[in-house]
Amino acid sequence: MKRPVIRMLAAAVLASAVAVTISPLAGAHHSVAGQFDIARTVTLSGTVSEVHWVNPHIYIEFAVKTPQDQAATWRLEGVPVGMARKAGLSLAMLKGHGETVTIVAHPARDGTAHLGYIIKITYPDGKVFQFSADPAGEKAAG
Amino acid sequence: MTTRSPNRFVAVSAVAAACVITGLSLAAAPAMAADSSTAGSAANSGKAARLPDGHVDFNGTWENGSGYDFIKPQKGDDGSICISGCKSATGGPPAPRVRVEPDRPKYKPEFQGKVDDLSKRQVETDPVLRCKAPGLPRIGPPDKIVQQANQVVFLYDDVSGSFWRIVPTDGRKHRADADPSYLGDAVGHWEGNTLVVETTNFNDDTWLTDNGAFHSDELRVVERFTRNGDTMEWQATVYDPSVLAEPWKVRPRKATLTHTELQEPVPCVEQDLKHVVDGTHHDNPR
Repeated sequence: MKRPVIRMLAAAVLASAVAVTISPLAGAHHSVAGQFDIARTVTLSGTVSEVHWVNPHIYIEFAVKTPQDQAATWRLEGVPVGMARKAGLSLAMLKGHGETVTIVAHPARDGTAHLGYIIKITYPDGKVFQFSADPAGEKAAG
Repeated sequence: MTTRSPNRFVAVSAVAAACVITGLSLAAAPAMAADSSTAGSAANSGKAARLPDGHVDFNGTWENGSGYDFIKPQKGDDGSICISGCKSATGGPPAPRVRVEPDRPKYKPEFQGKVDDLSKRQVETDPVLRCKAPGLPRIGPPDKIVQQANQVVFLYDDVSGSFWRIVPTDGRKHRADADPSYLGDAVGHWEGNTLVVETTNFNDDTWLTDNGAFHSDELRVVERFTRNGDTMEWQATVYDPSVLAEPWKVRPRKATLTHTELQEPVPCVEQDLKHVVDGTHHDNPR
């Protein structure tokens, strides 16, 4: 009985460290689904170290501090620059000022570590930049 | 996004490049500076503004959605921005995305298999996913137009790059010295209030749409631009008799005059395709 308990504890710790939510994303961009696991999310906390303001997708280098087992520089993909600009989001806004932010992202499907697609970025003051449908938000709202 | 008055000309590199190449020089500035006045009067009258030469004035920056019709950005009072998947106005779940029936050319039966195969393998075969120019008519209406008496310049701020086309309207014929290219060789003329642009001499590295709609080197595209107030309608007809069963009249698209100026183009750096796990079709909106 001891090992199953340990396994359960390990699973619980993992689940709390990497919040995984299963939720269908009916309206998701198909190319995102081809590259990222839209049925799973990972919640990361850290600082934006670099923004690659390029097409066809913006990329952020994100220095993750917690959860500790995910600590690394993640590469996180976002929307095309044109979409960001049309929404009023600039390079400077994404770069921020070194503040610690929380990013919820879809992990890569091909198993590449520390690669994801941004769902939303939450700042210390409560401000949110949302890039794609938030499964948790949909669930809560529904 | 920074909103600027069209009167305040901001150096957009694509504009600058086009000006240098076409020799527009600063003579183009007055034409662009006329945007604000013509936009306002045209909007109120419902009529199309005109240049001194009598032709309809298409100068200006035109918001056409860039094919992102499903993007409904929202801004919050606290500085929050939602680009996609936003909650409804009442705070409920995002409204389901409305899918418009695709607009597709009709191929001769012997070529439909090739279209289907390219479409099935779109992630590995679509030139646009590799930052190549989309070609015509896939690129859609231009994002900015600079118009003179003898030529019109189209500027595009596209997800796969920023592009320009120079369209002589002085009666000259197609160039004989240009290599086949992604956006072809264009000449224009006026039919009353309609600007008609005929383009030929395309390379074979573009598709007509995102579903593997290849074309031959006989491709000819005729675009028609009309203006009503601050709205421009773009319509294209595709002729490629060696592969298409009939000319394809593309569903018209509308664009509205905007005071939000284009910004400097950004590089297109493809870095995703090696991570795509399956052939999931890229849901490109065009």
